[in-house]
Amino acid sequence: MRYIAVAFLMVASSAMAKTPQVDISEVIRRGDMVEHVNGIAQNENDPKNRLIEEMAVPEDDSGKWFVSVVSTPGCPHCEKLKSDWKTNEYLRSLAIPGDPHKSWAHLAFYTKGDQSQDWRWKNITFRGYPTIIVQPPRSGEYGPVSDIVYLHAGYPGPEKLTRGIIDAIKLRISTVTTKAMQIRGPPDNVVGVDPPWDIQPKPDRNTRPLLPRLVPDVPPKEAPAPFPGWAIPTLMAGGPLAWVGIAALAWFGFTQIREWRKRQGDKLLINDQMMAMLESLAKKFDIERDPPSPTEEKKK
Amino acid sequence: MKHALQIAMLIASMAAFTPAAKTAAYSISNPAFNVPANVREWFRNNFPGDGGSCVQCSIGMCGVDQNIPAASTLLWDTRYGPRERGGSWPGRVAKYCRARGIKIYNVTGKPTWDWMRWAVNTGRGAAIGVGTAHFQTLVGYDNASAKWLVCNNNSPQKIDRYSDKAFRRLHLASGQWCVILDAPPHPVAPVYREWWNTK
Repeated sequence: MRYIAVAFLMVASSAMAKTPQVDISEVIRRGDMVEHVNGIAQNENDPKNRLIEEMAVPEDDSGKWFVSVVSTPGCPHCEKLKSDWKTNEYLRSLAIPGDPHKSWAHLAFYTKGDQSQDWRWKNITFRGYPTIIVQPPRSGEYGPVSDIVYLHAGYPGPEKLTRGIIDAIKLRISTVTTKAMQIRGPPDNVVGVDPPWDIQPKPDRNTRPLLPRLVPDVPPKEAPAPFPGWAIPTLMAGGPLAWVGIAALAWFGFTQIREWRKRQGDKLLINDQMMAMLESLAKKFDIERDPPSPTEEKKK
Repeated sequence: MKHALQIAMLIASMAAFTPAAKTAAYSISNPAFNVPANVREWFRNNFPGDGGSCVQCSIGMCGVDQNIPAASTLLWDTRYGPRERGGSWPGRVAKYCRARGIKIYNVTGKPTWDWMRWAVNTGRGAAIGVGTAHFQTLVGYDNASAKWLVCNNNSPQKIDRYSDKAFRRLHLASGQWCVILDAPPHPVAPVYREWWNTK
């Protein structure tokens, strides 16, 4: 009887162990296939949408730098940085949120206090939020991956932050150039004996730009507003025109402060649309105040 | 004595379904997946009443590693969606990933080998078939010892090491299937060091 019980237990335990957690039959039916689920609900009846065959592995992105942003809930500067990152050309030259394949660096947003992620920061003391941390690529071509190449607590504005990160990366590259060159190989523009066929471009890791292409991507800077020199003698002369001089100087001061705040990434009192309208009004006033002389008209 | 023999036979029959693996401390300096043991423990494949959930346990671990909450919370009811437990297959994984907005590569057949290598080379973990009808988490590949590192969700505290041959046998036994999150890899835990001071 005991042996029957033992045999029953053995069979039962075997059956438990064989409970299918993975349906192999579908794996076999699919055969050699790579389905790229892009996280968007699709029309599953359309086989073109359902199964996208992409057998080749994606490019090797182990040469990308890591940019981590650690924020806290309810932190306005953190939210500002996140929203800027979606639109600002400086920040997007580093990484494009939601599009890691087109990003120059690996960008990740973390929330301090998220227990599933806090183990990452065991070696870090946070002095403010957001904290931006930059680390070298996984490939090891720029030294240990754990090194903090750039750390900044607070949000200094998109341009200052981007330039700070790039300066730090430049410094890091300059300290490990020899090793990097050994890993990256010779530059692309080697002159000498050509092979008798057109060679394929090198894999992405070696052709990826050393630094993000910042300059061509940034919007052109607007010409600074000229100083209204005429306002000073007008002011000195006194009379009813003095008020015009005061207004012109005040307007100039306002535009300068606005421009500075814009560069810092701070909130603006007047949005760009309203500002453009005011500027056109100011220009109209300027033309009406001082019409061009006939000689200037002739020159034009 | 008889009882001892019976117990030994019972244990032996259960052990027959556990793949043999050499377990060792985590030795490689820069593994593809490096979630600590206490966090891996959350994904122990032990949800009474819901059946085995090894596929979701493995994807969930990768979700923590790559900081994709919609993936890391697969096993529980959260704002990212209802819990997904029980046995799984490629079609089911694709369906719930679409529903939760998780981007994945759902790879079956011979391409899995190239994709698993790509994952560990670029710093990503992967949910992969290892052992008969079982999914585990691919942790990395140790070039020095030529061993594959795998975390079994039935024993998440340890990392198992397999030779190429053993790993190949186990992956074939599972049916060649792997799931890799289409998301950037994680940086390793940062450390302060005066790297600019070269002297």
